[in-house]
Amino acid sequence: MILDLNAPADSAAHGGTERTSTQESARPSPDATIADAHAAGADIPIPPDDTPARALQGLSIPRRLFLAFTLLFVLAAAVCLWGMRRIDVIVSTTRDSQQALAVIQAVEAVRTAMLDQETGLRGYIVAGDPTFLEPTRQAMQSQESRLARLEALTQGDTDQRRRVDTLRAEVRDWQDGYANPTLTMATDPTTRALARDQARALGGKRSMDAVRGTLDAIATAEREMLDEHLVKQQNAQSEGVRGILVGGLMIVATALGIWVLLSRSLVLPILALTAALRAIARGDASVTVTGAGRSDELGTMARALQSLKEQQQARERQRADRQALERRMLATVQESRERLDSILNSLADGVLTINEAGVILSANRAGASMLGRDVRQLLGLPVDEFLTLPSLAGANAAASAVLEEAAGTLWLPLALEGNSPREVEVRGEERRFPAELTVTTTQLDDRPLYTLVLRDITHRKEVERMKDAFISTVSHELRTPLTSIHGSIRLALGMPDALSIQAQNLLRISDRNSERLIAIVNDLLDIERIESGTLDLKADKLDLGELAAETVATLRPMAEEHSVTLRYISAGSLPVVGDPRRLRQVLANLVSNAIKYSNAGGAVTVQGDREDGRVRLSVHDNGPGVPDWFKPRLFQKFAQADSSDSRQKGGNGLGLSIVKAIVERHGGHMTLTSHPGDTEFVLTLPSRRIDARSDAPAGADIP
Amino acid sequence: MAESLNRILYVDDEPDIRAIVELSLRHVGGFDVQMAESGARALEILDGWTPQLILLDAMMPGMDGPATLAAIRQRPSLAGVPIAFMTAKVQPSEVQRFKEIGAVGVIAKPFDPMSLPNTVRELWGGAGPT
Repeated sequence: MILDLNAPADSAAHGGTERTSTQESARPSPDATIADAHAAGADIPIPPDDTPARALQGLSIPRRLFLAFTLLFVLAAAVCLWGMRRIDVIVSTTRDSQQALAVIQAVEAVRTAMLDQETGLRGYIVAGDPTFLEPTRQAMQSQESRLARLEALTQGDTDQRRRVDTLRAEVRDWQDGYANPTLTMATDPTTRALARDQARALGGKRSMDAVRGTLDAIATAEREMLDEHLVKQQNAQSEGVRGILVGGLMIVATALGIWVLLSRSLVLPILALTAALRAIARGDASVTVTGAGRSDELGTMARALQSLKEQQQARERQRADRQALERRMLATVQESRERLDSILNSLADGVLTINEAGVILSANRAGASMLGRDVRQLLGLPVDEFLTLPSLAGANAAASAVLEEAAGTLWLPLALEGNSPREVEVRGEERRFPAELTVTTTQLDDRPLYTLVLRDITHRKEVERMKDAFISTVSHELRTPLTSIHGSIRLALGMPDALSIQAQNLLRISDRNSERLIAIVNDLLDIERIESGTLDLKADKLDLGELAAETVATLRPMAEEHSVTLRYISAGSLPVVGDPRRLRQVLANLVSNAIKYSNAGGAVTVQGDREDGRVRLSVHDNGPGVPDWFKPRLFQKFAQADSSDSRQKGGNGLGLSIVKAIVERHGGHMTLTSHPGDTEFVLTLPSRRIDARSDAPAGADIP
Repeated sequence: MAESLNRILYVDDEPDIRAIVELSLRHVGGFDVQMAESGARALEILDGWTPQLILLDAMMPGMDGPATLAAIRQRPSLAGVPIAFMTAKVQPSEVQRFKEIGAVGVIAKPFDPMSLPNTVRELWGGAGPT
């Protein structure tokens, strides 16, 4: 059993059939170990017979400890019992020895008493002195008790008892047969000599010898027994010492065996598991957990630890994955940010982002350079330090007062409303310039983020200014020769008597075309004024109905020329505030267009109307109408559906764009509905309240 | 009517336009017309001749219309003579400016030479001397 217990505890892991895959992977197979050991030149560990150890492994740790201590206890108990038996033997032999010694003493006492009697008796007989009888008398009196004691001591021993009986008989025989009769003779002076003879003749010697012989026999028997007891006792003592020694050694060996077994099967694995646990707690999941194949508590612990380790490894893998993902995401974000930055920085437009308080959050290179600062210097500055809306910078004192008052809080909502580009003035550190501002609002973390795109339009403005100046100059320069041509023709036509009919016809053609030329120049100038913002409008109180009637009257000859019926349906007065010359221009344009684009025999109807504080004037014709594709471009500059129109109809494509601009400057608007045979232009203007005292003063300009 | 319009001074650097205006006013309108090709020439003519109405081209090299008007207004003897401009610049703001410096009216170029005499008469009638 001790040998069995000494088997290595982990041998089960080597040779056991319960090996788990974890162990398989965690530690090499025995074959591999051997092979490796061969290669390393080390001793070959031979797996010992591990069956009992394996059987032990199946037991739980408390049961195993119980078994170990029970074993130790049983061993100790056996040793104790065995020792006690030896002690019993020693005790009983000691008692027997004492008994034997007591018997020998009793025998010697009887012998002494016999000698005393005989000596006293002989002295009395020889000397006749009664004092010699005193010891004899005492001995005779005590002899019975001494014999009784001897009897009592030899009670259990049949042989000795029989000898004691013989002794008693022989003593009595000596006393009765010799001592007493001799004493009686010696006492009687008559017989004293006889007694003396008898004594000299060694009377009673025979019986005394018998007594002495029996006493010797008893003593000898007891001595033999005593020797026997002593031998037995010595044997027991030496056996006891040897047995205790052997038992103690066995206990020590067993304890050692248990220690080795426990340390191998419990302590070392526990230490290993503890180390593994510490490592895992430290976060080191690379540690090898052994003993998961065990079926005891350590196996459970090892499996728990293994699963802990696997969880830890899984967590580590997850963390590593997450970190890798984060790194990738970060790299992606970084990369896309860099790409975005490089795109943004390569733009010629300035791109700024600001929060709802107008604080600059970012700026691209162009933006920073527009504002004349470093990008980093810009961050955190209020954007309105650098941008001025024309309306704020502009002319109207009242409006700018309102806007300036609102600047602190309302600047952004005011300025940023709508997404269409607007013109602002950029006040950079180095230069001020006009820019086109486009604002896009996005929500970032539930807060508005405004992206401002600034386009430097200095150049465009310069080009526009040059274009306007060019048109203005060219138009004025054209007017001078036109004045001469037109004037000459008119004057010549005023002298019909001096001209042939043919010459007059030619002059009329010249006259008509010089008028067209003048109209084109006027239109170009109008367009230039509209675009440069220098179209000045008077704000007179007018009746649009009157103007319409006038226009219809003026254009009636033209209508007749085109065989078109022209009529005006009045709705009474249509009071408005406006520039009479410009509104006449609008009406003439609309009505002459309607006439020009009507078929012969068609009808053009001008109709006035009032509704909801507005006046409405429609010009209706039943010509072929405006093709759908052309409608969106109808009010644009130089727009004509058919390029041959300019020659056929005498238009230049500027008329309707001017009409629209003039009407809008009056606060009104133009609409068109057109189908073949049914085309209507509608002009709507705000109505002037006739009786209101707040009528615009005559002569005031429309802002 | 104490007096009808007869003497008109026309100042313009463009000879063609001068010719047309002369034809228009003299032959169509029947006025007594003097022509000057510059402001300086006009002032020379005014030394010896006092018109009832002066028409000035606004844009002229050297002394332009307004400058000529200012020079004429320097002469007390001519204070009562109404002056009008004939110009291609007929923006309301420009018209306003001409009126502010003392012009009685602005006639837009190009003009119709056949109706110019009537236009001139209307102008003179509105602003003419009593």
